[in-house]
Amino acid sequence: MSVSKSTSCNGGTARVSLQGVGHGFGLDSFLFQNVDAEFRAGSVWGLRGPSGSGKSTLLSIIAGWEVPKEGHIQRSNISTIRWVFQNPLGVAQRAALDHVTLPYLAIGLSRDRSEKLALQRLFEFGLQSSAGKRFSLLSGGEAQRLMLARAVAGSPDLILVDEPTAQLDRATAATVNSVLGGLARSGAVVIVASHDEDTLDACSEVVDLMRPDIGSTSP
Amino acid sequence: MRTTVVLLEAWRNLQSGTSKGGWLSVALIMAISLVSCAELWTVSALDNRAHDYRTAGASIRVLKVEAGIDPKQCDALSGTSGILSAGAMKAVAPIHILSLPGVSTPAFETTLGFQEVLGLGTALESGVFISEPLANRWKIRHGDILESDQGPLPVAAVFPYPEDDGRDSRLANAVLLPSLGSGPSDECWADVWPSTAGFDSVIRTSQGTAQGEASASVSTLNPTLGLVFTGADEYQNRVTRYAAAISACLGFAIGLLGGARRRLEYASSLHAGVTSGDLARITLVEATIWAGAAGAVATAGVVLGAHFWAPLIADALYTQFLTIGMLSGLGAITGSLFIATHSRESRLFVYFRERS
Ligand SMILES: Nc1ncnc2c1ncn2[C@@H]1O[C@H](COP(=O)(O)OP(=O)(O)O)[C@@H](O)[C@H]1O
Ligand SMILES: [Mg+2]
Repeated sequence: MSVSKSTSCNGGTARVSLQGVGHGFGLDSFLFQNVDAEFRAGSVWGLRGPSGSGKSTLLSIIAGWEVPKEGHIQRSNISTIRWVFQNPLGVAQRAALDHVTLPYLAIGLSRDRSEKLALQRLFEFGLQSSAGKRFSLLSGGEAQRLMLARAVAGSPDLILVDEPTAQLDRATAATVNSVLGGLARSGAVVIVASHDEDTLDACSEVVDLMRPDIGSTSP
Repeated sequence: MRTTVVLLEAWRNLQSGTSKGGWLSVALIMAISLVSCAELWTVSALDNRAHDYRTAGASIRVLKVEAGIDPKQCDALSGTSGILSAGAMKAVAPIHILSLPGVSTPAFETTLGFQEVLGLGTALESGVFISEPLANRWKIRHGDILESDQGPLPVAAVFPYPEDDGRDSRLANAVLLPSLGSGPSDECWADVWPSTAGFDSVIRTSQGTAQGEASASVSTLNPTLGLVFTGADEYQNRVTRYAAAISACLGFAIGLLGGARRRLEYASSLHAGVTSGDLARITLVEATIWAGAAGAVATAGVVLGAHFWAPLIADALYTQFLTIGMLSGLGAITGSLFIATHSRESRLFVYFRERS
């Protein structure tokens, strides 16, 4: 398995390297093998593969939740990890803004300062007009973008995004894809698993789990 | 997290409905009311039975030894704590009332203590005593004078003595003559409360020293309600004596249920960087507010309700009601905190596994 490499790296210090990683759940069966990759901060890394190919499994291996059967993983300067799941996970009755404010409050910032930073994040993800809306009133696309904005807040070192558009129609998915680039600006290593080509197109680098020989790089 | 932020987060969770504080309060108020009412109902039922038992004369123990009771010693029994009153009586020759020819009315000579057993005072003008049923039949009242074969007998008192509650009916249809205190009596009556057979041996000492029989049997004036009142034991063993503990458990369960719903939210907060200590502090503030409000409202309601509907026993139960309110509130807070402190970020892993 090979990985597309790009030189368009912003030079972030956080990094995750995979060497010959393979995993599966049967005795001798493997979902994937020989995955070599170097995920660096500054880019949005796509992880391509059809449903059931092991993308989520590889993400949880990268997060350290699961230990691979083969290969090595090296995490440099990674202490904080944030996940974004395919189902947006929010608090129904709290305002959108509150979701993004919380990570800042958690690190001890004042309410004012936290809200100011959170509003900036909402702006970056196209949610400035939804700040005061309750989570339960957000559309699917807004909710998913809110999850991305929240993941960025609090400056994590690694952001793992699993099928962010799987639950969305194409038009709504496009609104999410259009802001994926905002994740790269956080300074975190960003990995987005998806089988949606539009989503993968929005990533700057793509690792293909199924076709190790064809790596691709979006412009 | 700053303390003001903790307070504000807790407040926003409550005010937005995220805590479901309203529903949880309602549940807690219901739990407190239910447990308190069960206790009030149990105690008031026992109290009513005790009241019935006493008014039926069932607490009066009767020692019968014909011409074998020393009236002075019998009267003196009331000095024993646990014996409210005691007095002796003996049968004397029947009396003939002139207006009722051919009818002879039984007569008993009674001591001063006996008047107390019947609920009469001891400072009465001289005269005879008759029961209410007899007074009604004869259509006479306190102060009237009965013309008898023994001369005019002023009625010094009419005492309550129902005929139909199962008690020894002899006095219902008799004239009682205050004793001159001479000679032995036939019976010693003692009102023992709380009711117990434990004083029977004491009551037997009212037999004169010489002819005293340790085996003389003591019965109760009204055996239809049981030989002794079991209410005190039932009170000690009532299920609702655990009311406070039960309400604490109910509160805990309500706290758990309220928190269980939010485990994913908690996991998500932890994932967003909130420390478990801060999560616990936010939860503590939230739970203290809703459980405290519910506990205060419910307890005040219960105390007021008891004050109006069961004023006689309410005083004895206020401490119990306060304990129930406090413990259920503390239980609810503990339950909520239990969930918050046992929430793990790894719950997201489970969620991820199941849904992604
Ligand atoms: N803990 C597990 N135990 C057994 N099988 C699993 C486990 N986790 C995932 N799988 C299986 O591994 C395969 C890959 O799953 P997943 O990583 O979720 O794929 P993808 O995210 O690419 O759709 C699926 O067939 C799934 O059923
Ligand atoms: Mg998946």
